[in-house]
Amino acid sequence: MQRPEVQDIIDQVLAGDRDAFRQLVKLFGLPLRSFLCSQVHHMEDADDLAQEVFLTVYRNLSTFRRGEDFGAWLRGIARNKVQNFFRSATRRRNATDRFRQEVCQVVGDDLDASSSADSSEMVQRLLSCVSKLPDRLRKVVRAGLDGDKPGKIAEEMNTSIGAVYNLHWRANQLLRQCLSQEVG
Amino acid sequence: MEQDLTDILMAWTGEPIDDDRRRQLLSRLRDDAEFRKAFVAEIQMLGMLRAVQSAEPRWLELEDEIGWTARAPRQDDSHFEDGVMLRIDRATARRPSRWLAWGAGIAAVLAVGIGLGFFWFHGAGSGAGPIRADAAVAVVTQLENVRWGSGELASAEGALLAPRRIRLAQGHATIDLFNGVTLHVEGPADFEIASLDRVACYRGKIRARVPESAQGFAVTGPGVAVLDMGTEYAMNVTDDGTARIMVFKGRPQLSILDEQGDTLRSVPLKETQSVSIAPRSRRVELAMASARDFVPLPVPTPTPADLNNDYATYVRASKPWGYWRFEEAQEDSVPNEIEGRPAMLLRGGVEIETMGHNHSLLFPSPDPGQYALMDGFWDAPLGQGYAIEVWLLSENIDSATIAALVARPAPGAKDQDPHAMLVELTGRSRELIHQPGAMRYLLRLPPGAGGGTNAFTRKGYIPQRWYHVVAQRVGDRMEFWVNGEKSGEAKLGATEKTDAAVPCRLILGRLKITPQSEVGNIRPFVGRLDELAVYERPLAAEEIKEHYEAGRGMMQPKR
Repeated sequence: MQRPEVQDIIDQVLAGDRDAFRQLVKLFGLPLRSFLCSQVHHMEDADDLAQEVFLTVYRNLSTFRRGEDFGAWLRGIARNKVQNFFRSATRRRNATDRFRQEVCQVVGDDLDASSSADSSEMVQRLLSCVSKLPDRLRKVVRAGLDGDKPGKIAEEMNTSIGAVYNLHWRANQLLRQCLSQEVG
Repeated sequence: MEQDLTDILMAWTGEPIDDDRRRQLLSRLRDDAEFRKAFVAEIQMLGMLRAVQSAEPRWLELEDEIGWTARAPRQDDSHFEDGVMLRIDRATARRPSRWLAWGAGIAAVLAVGIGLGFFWFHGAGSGAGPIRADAAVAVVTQLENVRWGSGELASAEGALLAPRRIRLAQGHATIDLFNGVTLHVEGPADFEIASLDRVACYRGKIRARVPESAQGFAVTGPGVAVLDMGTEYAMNVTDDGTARIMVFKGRPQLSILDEQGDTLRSVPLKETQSVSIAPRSRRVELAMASARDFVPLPVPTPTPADLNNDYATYVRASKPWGYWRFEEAQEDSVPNEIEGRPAMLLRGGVEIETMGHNHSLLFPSPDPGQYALMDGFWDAPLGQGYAIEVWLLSENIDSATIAALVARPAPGAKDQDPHAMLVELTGRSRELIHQPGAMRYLLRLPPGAGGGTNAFTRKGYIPQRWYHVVAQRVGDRMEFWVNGEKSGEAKLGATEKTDAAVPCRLILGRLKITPQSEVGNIRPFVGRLDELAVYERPLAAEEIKEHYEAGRGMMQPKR
């Protein structure tokens, strides 16, 4: 469908058309989940946080200022949700989560700026780009997404853990090139 | 790829790394913009890959909030697995999902006509109006893995309950009555909230905490009733009608009832005692029982206010006369953030509670000696305009004072606590008409023991939840704001206009600090307060919303 103006959709929701909010979820759901997945470890946590963000947005939509960047507003709420998530007592006992919390605080602005151009269509094109990767790189990417530990991937590919990270880094470079070509 | 980037990505994904190396990498991340950019590119790509290849989530709470009855067909399903339930099953198997915390994962909103409604957190568009004061007697506070009986209308957390019979097929439900009684019910159970003063257990397990203020409350079983105040006890009723009772606190009275339901015999029970009552003979026998045989209390999960770090900046920008953040206390005194203004003195066990990086003022029990008191007077412009702002969380639904402004008593006056202003929580009042479980704001000029103008919130509060509250005077109106929205207001009378400031002391958590014999004159607050501020002017609507949003992390940092 033609991408409607976001402000039009907001106006419709505020006028009482709750179903119109579905369009906002469709437009921003995938980039928001991507943004959250960049920061938290488990997919379920990212999806839980995404729902919280949309609930907050829905309840406070009237406070959104016309003319401002809705995606930026959304990500701002998401950043706070992530920080609150890390601050929970359970999270703070986990060393990896504590590290992630510190890292997210340091890179938050950069990640936000980098994510500003992400759209649902662009993220969806990524699957097509993955399929175009050379076999070895595609295998590394798929295995990582399936939850395989780098140690296991390294063993299967008869290489080192460091090499697995390097392969993934190369794959990401190719994926970024592919995306920029797809966008044209 | 350089080694530092590899190492930080390994640490990011949970590979073990020593602390020195971790610190080194963090330091480089802070100082080296190019390195930071490269790292961000990697985690951004990783996030996109994970999101795009995962199944589309089923956001049941969002659907319920917005009232979507059927999902629109996806316009493009090619990128997502159809196995949404498979993903939910996997997620549920790994750890409980918040979306499915209510068993079937669906919470229904029922119409006013059958006595259910919504509190704050469902916001606008719930489709159900509030129950009037003469209908509701309780609210559903907490549900864990609940499945309601077949044919039973599902109730959500926050739902108001009028008197009715309820069948709980499984799980644990916590229900707060408006007289301060808290019920914990474990399914399978068949019970009835007959009135504010009577709960009947037909089958299953029920536990009641009955405060002293709940005079006349009783839990009945087949041929028995347990009565008293200031007690905690549990009752199990088996399929054959045998009732077993265990006392956890206090000394309730056990009544054996005749066929008309009147007391035939009365048996006093003792703390930690357990008895069994046979269904036909009504014979009372001591029973060997352990607390494990009865409904356990839910594991307490203290909830920090978790206010965003920028909140104080917004409050200070509004230039309060007094601001207490309750971050720390020195010799039972909490400093005022505004220099030269009085501290808040803590009495009777009121203390600063620390949870992680959060701090709040804890009122741990209904002990009458428990309160906080401003160490000095404020020339409050009560006749012109002022505001009181605070975050609060109550442990239960009951009549409880949050904040009281008490004027200097006249020499020799009988009333040593003449009130000028009051913000309090209500349960079910027998003297005033209002939404049950509402918040109350009273302005009384001149200060005294009676009279004044009230503003009640239109909706009730739910225990164990944080609320941002502002009570203020704006010209000839009183305004009551909750969570950034105006929730109550009232027009003031001619006698309540005065240009003179009224020297007052602020009391928190108790109606009066002079010794009182009646519980109603104490109204102890049990719960937490945080970020208390008083202003010598009313706050603008935009300010109130900004403060609330800043606390919830929805505002950009104030520059």
